[in-house]
Amino acid sequence: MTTNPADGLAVQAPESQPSARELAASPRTYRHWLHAGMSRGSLIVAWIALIGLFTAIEPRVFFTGGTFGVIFGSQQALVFLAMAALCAFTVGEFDLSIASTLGLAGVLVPVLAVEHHVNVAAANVIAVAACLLVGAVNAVVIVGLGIDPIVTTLGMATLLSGLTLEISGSTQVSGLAARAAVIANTEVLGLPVTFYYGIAIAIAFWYVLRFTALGRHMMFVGANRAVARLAGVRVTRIRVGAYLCSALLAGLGGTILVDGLGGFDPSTPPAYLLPALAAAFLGTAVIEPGRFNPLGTLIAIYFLVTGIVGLQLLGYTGWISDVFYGAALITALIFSSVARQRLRRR
Amino acid sequence: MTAQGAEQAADVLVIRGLRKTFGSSVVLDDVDLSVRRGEIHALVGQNGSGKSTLIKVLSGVYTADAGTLTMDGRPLSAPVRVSELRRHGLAVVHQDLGLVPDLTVLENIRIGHYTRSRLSRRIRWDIERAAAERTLSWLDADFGLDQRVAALHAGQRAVVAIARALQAQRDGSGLIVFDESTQSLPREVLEDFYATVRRIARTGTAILLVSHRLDEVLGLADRISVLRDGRLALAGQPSRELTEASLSHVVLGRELDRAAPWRHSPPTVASGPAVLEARGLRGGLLRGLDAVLRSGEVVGVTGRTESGHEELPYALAGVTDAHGELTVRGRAVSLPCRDRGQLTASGVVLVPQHRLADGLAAQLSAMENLTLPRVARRGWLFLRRGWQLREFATAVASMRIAPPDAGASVSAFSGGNQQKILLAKWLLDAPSVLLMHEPTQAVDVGARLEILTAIRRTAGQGAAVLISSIEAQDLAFVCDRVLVLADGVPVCELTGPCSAEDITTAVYGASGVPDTSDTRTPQAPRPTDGPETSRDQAPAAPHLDLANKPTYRSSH
Repeated sequence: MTTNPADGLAVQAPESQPSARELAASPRTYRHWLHAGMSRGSLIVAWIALIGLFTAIEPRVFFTGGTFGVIFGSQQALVFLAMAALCAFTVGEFDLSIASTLGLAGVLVPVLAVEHHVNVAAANVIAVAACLLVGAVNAVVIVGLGIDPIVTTLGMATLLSGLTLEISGSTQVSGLAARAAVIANTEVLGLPVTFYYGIAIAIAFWYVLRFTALGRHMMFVGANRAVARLAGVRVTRIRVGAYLCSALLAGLGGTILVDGLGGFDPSTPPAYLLPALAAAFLGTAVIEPGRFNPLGTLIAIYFLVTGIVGLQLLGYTGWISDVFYGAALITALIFSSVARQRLRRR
Repeated sequence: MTAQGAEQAADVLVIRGLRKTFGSSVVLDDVDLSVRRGEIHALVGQNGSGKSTLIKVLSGVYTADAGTLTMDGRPLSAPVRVSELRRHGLAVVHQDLGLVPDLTVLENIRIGHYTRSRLSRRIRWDIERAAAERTLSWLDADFGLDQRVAALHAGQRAVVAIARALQAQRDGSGLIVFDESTQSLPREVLEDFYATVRRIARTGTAILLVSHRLDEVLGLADRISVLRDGRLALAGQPSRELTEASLSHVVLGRELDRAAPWRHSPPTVASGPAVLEARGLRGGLLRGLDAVLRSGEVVGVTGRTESGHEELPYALAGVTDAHGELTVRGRAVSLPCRDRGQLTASGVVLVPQHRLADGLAAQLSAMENLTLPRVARRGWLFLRRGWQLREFATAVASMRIAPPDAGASVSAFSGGNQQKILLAKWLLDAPSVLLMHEPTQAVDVGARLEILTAIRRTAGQGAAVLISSIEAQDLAFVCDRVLVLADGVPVCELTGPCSAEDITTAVYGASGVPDTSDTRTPQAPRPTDGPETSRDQAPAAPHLDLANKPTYRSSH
């Protein structure tokens, strides 16, 4: 080919470049790490401060095993739902139908098992399959037809809550056989096994995002679809997958919730949506600031629940959780946008 | 609007001892600058030299750490307030022109200046209309006030942006800052733009022209100031005392070596095997185009706006819905392409024009962007950090990316470095076909040289390279042959070493465009039909049917 003198400067540069590791760290000073550490850990510090505050006010009521049992043992559905929300957010999509999808699974299991005498395991499987169908419809409308995701999933949420009322006859459905509770209520180290399901899902999700090509592709689809497409990423497949995965997680959350409780109140699902979104956004302030990340979301959930439980123990009930979650969501958005601006300015 | 007092050399804007730091980095250090009435003063510098920071201090976006700004002898407050700027007649025309496409010309021109009726606070459109009409007629605009900006040509949009800036001026006073405004303009309206700028200056209004195009600056400005690494490297030197070489020396601190090594090597035309062949490519602006790219050659594609050259890289990469036969390394690819993966797998790589829209994900890190095309090939289960850091180190070493911070988000890098990251992302993929659109757009001289060198190097390693660009100098610098397109088909091919003038002439024809620059332009006029220029495919004069293409504005 060419006898090109420029060839000497080959692009396949020396493997022996010793500077690789230094490069990643070189401009980072002590102050940078201090700063990064503070922004990465700020929510954890806030969480500890919150625990300290409640302990100081109500030492005998708050700082007990019972309280922590409530905090860590009661929010599995929220963990599943927040991970579902995260699934969509990571790839730049929105899924507001997750809470209603959870509700669908929640009524389908007892209605099938109790009223139609379907085997409990089969009822669980059918419920999750129905949720996957919901995800598929979302994907077809949003990805296939290119309709706005917020409006579509909001419509889907409303549609599902109506459907849920009809299926349940607008009343609480209960009477689920006790053996269904085995997969949900078995205690491991003093906490129900579902707590560990939530942890496992968050860790698995974190691993996928942090250490796999799929996760990297998901982040690029979320950050810039054109770039992802030009790099050969199958954008459509990933977006569809995100809606399916989101619906699947919401469905699983619904089934473990109802299996644990033995019954379900069809009017409750909407109350799950805001905490899940708040946790997903608040999670962007920790671990990997400025990014949706599962471990941050997990921490955010338990931070939020600690706040609610503490306030309830102080005697505030009912209205306080809405006020707290709403305020937390707004605060979380402010924090995460500030964190992102800081990152950009560096 | 006479040119009375244009001779007066009073300073309109005086900047003294300006200093601005971000954290520990000093972006502007003790900068002095003065702009006189009626002069065109150019501010030149590489990306990251502090030009944009200076303009942002001037327009009140940033507050300076130290230093004073004086307009018409009166000090400006710090931070600068917008209302104050307007009172002094300072307006900025930004790089993207800052227009709202969905609004009309009138609304765009008068926004922020609306005269409201005293009682109802309604906008007095009659007054608005009269004011805007006066300005537009002075600018010789050939479009109406009620047209939507989206419906205008790029050249017309520039006129709208200038008209808006002129709203702040009273006759023959004030200052207009053009912040890289020619970036967004097609080449054929540049002359009109320059004429307009000169005309405004003749009225006595001062012009501060921020640009990185040295030829433009030398042709247009009366005086030139150069920023380098935040310091003033040249303060208000009359431009007639400078040449492009001496100016680039000041801007870079070293001379742009036009005699790059490969310029001495014989042209590699048609030496390698054909890697990519396209037959009868149509769709969009393309009308039955044939092209062959051979291994080891760099092919330039150029032409006027909407000649089709700007769509060719995208069509060959299978991202537009162009039809035609495409053969890549002997394998037929059906167009329009349903599966991009097929093309990517055969080593066809696209570096798009808009680096932040289509090239890089700005909020993700430099390393993540750099390694994206290869993560899937490195296994699905676990992404090791080692090879990613090695790739980043390789890119830093070969392209001189600064700062070498793998974890920093792409948005934290300057434009030139972003472009280097984008190019390195694909060069590390060892492409067999490299398709590029305006690879040196909004990139300073130093980065430009590094980018062009890297492109040449890639060809040297056996890739077939296609560059679609309107930068004749770049094409002359790096290409083995240049295809000139008109109306979607090649009308002429320049082979062998050719100069920027040869390319410009082939695009516009010898008399297509009035002489761009004054006599002091460094490139000495050359016979345009040099012996090295061969016009293989041109059936007739290369500039046929281009002469009757409508220009955007009847000139004068």
